[in-house]
Amino acid sequence: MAKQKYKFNPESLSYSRVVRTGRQKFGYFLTYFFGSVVLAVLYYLVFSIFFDSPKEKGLKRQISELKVNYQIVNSELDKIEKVLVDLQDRDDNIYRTIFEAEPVNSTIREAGTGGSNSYRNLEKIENSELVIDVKSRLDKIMKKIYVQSVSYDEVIELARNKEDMLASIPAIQPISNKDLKRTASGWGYRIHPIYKIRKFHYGMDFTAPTRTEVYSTGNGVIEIMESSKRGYGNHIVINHGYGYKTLYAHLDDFNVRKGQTVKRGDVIGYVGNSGLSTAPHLHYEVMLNGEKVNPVNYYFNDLTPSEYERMIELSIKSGQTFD
Amino acid sequence: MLLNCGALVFFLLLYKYVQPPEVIFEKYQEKKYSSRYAGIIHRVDSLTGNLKSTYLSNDQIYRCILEMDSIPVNVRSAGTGGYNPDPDFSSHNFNALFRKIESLKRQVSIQEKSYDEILIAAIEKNNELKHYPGIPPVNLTKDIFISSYFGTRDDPFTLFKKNHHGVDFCGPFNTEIHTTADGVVTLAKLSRKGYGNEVVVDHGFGHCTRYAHLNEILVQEGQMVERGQVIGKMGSTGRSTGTHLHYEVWYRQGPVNPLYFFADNITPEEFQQLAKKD
Repeated sequence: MAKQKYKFNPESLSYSRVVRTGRQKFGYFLTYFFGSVVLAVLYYLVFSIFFDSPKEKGLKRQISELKVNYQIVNSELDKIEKVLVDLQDRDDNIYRTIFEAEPVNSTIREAGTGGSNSYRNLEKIENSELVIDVKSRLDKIMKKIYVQSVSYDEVIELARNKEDMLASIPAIQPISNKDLKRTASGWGYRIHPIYKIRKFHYGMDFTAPTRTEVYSTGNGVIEIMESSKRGYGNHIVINHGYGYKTLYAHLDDFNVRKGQTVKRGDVIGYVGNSGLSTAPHLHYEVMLNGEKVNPVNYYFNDLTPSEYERMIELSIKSGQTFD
Repeated sequence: MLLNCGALVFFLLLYKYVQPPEVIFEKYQEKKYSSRYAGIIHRVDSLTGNLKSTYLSNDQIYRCILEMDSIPVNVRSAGTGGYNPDPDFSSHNFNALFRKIESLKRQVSIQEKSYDEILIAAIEKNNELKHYPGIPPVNLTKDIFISSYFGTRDDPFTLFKKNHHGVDFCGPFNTEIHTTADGVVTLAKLSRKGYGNEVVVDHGFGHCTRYAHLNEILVQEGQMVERGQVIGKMGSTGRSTGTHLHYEVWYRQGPVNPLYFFADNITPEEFQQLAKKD
């Protein structure tokens, strides 16, 4: 235990024992305590600066490993990203080579997600006023189509045969066209692939592999079924009544006979490259009272309004047809 | 002395139970890195998604148009045999991450090769179309009519049935004759077989065209010509009953009906646009 301390008492000229009260002892004790703590902390800090604890050693190793790995990964991903951007450039170049037109807006290209379909999207592309104008006219047409399609004399017939008419007039796409990936070239002035001059394209081209099924777009009768190596190649014309006829050209093969009655959705033939065609595709035309009309107006049973907007954008965009 | 003893005791306590300040800092760094890890996984997935979206236009559109085969699925997945479909990305599992990145790199390189192929094929196809005899050899104004078609007909001289290897276009004397595709003139002289003044152009890709009974030849053998270029004038030389152009198209040593190669839908004005004047 602590040594006995003696203090010199100048008055009595002798050493007398120092008696410490409990409080004083306690005070000394606390001082020692905190002093040790403080010292320990100081020693510890100094120690820790110069020496690493084992935990610390482990962590430091881990962190430097992480750093290296992340650097590698990041630089690899940067490289891959650069290559992908380059690939997309190449895609654009190939598109220009084949279609002789600017590629479709990249927001449509991104990972095939739905994407917003509004006028805002259309406003970003060239000729946006034209597209918006077409779209708004289309909206009106969709509402008025049954009435506009017949002359006065046939209105009464129409009223009587409305159900039949709804089933007969062209209303779906002639081939399966999920995500509208196959819409190639639409109605309007286009570059002819061989003449390389601007010619009016009176129908709609769908690219598809040879032997893809072609469907009748409405109930009707096969009026023309011709095998040919010229012009339209192997083609079918269906008479739907009510003034409507549809043409399906450049087929590889037929699945019907002349005079046969078909329903909407029946397979009538297969996509080919016959006649004057530069790639396997279907050339589709809609005729009303002998005049060719824009087929894009006749897919209302098949497309949602947002898909319709995209269809219009795609069919206007393409520069070169395949026939 | 007492102080130092006490200090030692506390020091040991600190050492055992308390982390040095640096460790705290490093632990914070470590956490930062682990959240970045999740970010990297996300980035890899998004790059893979971008890559896969290019497959769609590749296979469905370009390869379809150019009539090339799609790349089979097993080639696309780029040799990831023994691949654990659900690797452990939960912690800093860099092995799994590196494997995933390597696989992505391989898939990207396959796609690059695919684009190489497609671009070559697209350019080649454009070239092929330029060499396709796809227009009429004369401007089909109302002065021009077809007097004789391809196939069996009564020979005008002998009245026997004979195969007519081409199409006869009747028209005014000295009407301009245009070559119907890019090519090289292989023959440009007076024929001894009854063709009169004839020109033969080789377009490559198996196609040749012949223009016979010309009054005047305006090209030389060996000359390169472009579609629409004037090569001669209509006449009645050789075995001919009147002013007309006898036009033949040959595909690989066999005559083919020239009418298969162009449609009726080119107007005289449009023809003027594509006809090249000397």
